[in-house]
Amino acid sequence: MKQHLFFILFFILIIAGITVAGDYNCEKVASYTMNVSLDPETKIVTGKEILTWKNPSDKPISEMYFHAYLNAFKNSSSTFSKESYLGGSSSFLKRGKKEWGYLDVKSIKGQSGGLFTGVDFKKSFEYVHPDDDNADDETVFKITLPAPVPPGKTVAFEIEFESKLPAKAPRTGFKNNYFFVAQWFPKVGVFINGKWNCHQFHRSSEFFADYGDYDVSITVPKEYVVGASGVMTDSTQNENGTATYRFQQECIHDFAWTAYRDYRVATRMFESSELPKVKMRLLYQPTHKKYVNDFFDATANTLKHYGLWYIPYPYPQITIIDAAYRSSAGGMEYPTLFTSGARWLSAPGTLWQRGLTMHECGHQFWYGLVGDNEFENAWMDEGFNSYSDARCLIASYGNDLASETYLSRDGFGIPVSFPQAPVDPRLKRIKRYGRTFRLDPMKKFDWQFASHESYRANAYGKGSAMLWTLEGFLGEELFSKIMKTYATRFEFKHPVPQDFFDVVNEFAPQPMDWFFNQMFNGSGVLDYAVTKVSSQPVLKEKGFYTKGDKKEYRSGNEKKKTEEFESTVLLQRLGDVKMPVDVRITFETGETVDQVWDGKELSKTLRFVRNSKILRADIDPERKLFLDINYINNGLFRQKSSFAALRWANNWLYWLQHLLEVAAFFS
Amino acid sequence: MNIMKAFRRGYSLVNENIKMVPIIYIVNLAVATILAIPMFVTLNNSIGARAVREKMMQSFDYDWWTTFRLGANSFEKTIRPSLSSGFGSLFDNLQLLLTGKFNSFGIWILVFGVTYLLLAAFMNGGVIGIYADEKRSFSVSRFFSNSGFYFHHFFALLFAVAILFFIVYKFISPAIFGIINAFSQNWMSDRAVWFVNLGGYLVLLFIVAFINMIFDYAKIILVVEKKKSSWLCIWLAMKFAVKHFTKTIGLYFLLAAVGLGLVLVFGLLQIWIQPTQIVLLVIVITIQQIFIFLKIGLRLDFYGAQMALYRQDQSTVRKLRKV
Repeated sequence: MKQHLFFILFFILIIAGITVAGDYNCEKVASYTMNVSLDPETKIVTGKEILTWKNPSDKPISEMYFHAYLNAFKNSSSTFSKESYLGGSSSFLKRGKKEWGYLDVKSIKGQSGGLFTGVDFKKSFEYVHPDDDNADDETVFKITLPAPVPPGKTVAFEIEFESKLPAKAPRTGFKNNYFFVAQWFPKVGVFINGKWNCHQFHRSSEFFADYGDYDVSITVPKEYVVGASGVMTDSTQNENGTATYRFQQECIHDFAWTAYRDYRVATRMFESSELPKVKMRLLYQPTHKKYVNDFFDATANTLKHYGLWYIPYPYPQITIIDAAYRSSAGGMEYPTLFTSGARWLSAPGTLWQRGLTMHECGHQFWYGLVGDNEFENAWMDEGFNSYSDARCLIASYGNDLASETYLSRDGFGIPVSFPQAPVDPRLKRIKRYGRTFRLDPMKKFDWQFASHESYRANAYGKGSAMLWTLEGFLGEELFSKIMKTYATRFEFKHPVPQDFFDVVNEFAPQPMDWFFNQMFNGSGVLDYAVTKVSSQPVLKEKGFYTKGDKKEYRSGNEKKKTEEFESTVLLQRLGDVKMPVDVRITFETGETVDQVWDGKELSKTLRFVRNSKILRADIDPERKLFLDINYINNGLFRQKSSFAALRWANNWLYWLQHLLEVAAFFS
Repeated sequence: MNIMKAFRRGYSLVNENIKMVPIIYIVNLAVATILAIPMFVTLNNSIGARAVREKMMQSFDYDWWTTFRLGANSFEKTIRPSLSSGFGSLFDNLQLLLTGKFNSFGIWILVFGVTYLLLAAFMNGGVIGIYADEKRSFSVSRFFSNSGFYFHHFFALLFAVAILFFIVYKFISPAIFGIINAFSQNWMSDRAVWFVNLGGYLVLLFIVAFINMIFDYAKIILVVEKKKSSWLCIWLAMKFAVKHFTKTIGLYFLLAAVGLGLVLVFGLLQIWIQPTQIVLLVIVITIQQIFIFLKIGLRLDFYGAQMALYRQDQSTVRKLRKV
């Protein structure tokens, strides 16, 4: 009987292996096999981890660096806490004893049969601070190896750890009996360019890791619903009232999971004739049933559009987590799993909830599959993804609507949308952050920006605006090729900005370094404007004119067949960034003249003589340059019309009259 | 007298003295226009010659607005997407009423709001004075003479009500929501938290309405009973309102429901008609001004109906005393 059971189990594992094994062209550097158990009472995850690490470089390596991210929430002296405090956020100081979190590495030994069998690395264990001089920060540690790991060789470690989850910490932690477990295990850094890249946990930064295989068995009380990265390949009901769920996935670079008794579960298949099938598994909050279709629809649209535009999503499953209310876990990406969110009440017709789902799902591509370094080049995932999610939103749903949440307070608000105020999804982030573009150049590391807002401005706003501008400048077709090539070339790799610039230069008709130098290395802004449009009759000929050897007097009253006008258009560069711009002049007859201004000088005057006056002049009429921080000054009519101003001034008058009557309420 | 009778009598009083409504309406329009003219000039400077005006004729351009507000100062910042909706303006103002953030629209709006508040307090004397003397027909001179006669009393009441509302917004409202937040902090259901907060706002709305109602009756008692002390009138009004709680509050909410109906009808009308041409703009302006006119009429109806309720009760008391 035991033999039968063994074969059945073996067969199940083979099937499971087939299910999760894919044709992944990735270099597996860091693979983890973990057995972990959650105690919901103490909020502690205890675990054993076998890390198999391959030296990916051509150098022997004698030190290993690890992340212990959860220690960011260990006390108020961590770099994360200090940066949050200096940035104006001190909510962590209200934490009680049970609300702090930590990662305690109990033991770390060489795995038997490997290079360092039985070696106890705890002896050389040391917290280090590669980014600052904060000796209290414990988010990175290193161990010294007894002998270097030769290039291409593999070393395995057995690590025992205890992760105390923090309460409602950014992107991780617990709230009551809800658990979102992320950045939770000892995780090896990335050895790249001849050195360890293993940054501390900062307020304004995310993560970076090597690809590998994850095989994680999670034990929780049996009434809990569990969602995790990868695919569930096995589940066992244990005799002690717990259940163990095994999740596996090849070629991912992180692993997150969640457990909550009240999750509702829904599944749906993503199917497309041109793309691989993907099972979508949604874990949602009981009050959010009405959003189930939106979660699936936004996820399917992302898998479809990103898959066709960039690279197909290669994994068999994607897990969508509707994070618990006030859990601080919503809106974050992990490989094959992401957290979104919903509000019980949302403004009709707005795209907030679907937009968030698309954005986080989009990170499966920009961060998940194209594994940039989020610590150092956040714009390469946030900017790329903001560009892509806006594209995807427009392709799937069109414009968003402006909205307002009235009587807004934590946990309440009456959301109202305004159908007469449509919002182009491309503009939202640019508009929000445009004014802070000047503070820093994009090339800074995440925690080096002048402020958290400047980090967001550069990572999300300027990053996406730069791509929209490139698309406008190079044309949609060519830019699509560039993006597809870049995504394909750097799938399962760690690109840096120059890699992207090189792909652009490879396809662009001219080298684009002048553009990247301004945008990436500089903090200038782009702003072109039409500041004057005038037309006046051509100067009449009056006075003496020499014709041959005779002088002829002209009175200025000689009749011409048609009256001619001399028109002047003044173009100005108000920002520091210089780019060639399209200019369109429209005459009253309907005639249009298109020109290109190189945009280098501070101003340029255009003159025309026509039998018609100018109607309007537009700079960048097709709106190619999304980096232009003030598009309103791009188009100018020669003559004013007050109708639009009257319309909105009247609505304002009406509001004010009503407001005065509200004031009279108190009389 | 029951609530419906008082309601009908209030309507008759407004109707019999309908000329008061245009007087107050003109004051309202004039005060608002003083600020609307510079607003028009600002908007015209911003969009009159700019290409964006074409979009702004069709809808509210979010792109323009986000740029405009960066350079806007003072009351110009009150231009916002909600102005594009028939209901947006009303939600904005309801929010103001329940949060008490009167400075959120800038100093100029506050100054004009306070000015109108004083003018309204002044004209309230005229309105209630006219209603109190039912035998004589309306005359403009009597309206203004009553306004002047009662102003110092009404100003005192205004001062008292300002103190009360300060207490409500500064202490009671934070206390209500502080309690709600404390016990709902760890709730897992956003829906439950939403509803308990809604409950908090309804309580706050009730408190605000109740104070308003007390002071309505205080003004009525002051004029009808020819009392000299505003403070005594507040006390008498409170006694009256509490003694006849269901009637007074029922009448108040009946009138408020009429107001809500007006808001719905006129809000919908403005959603249906978008003024993309001059003719449509004229129609919209007309609809909006009719709404403001009716809104003022309704405010006067509050006084009329509440006075009818008070008088009826007092005559019943007197009859009982005689018996």
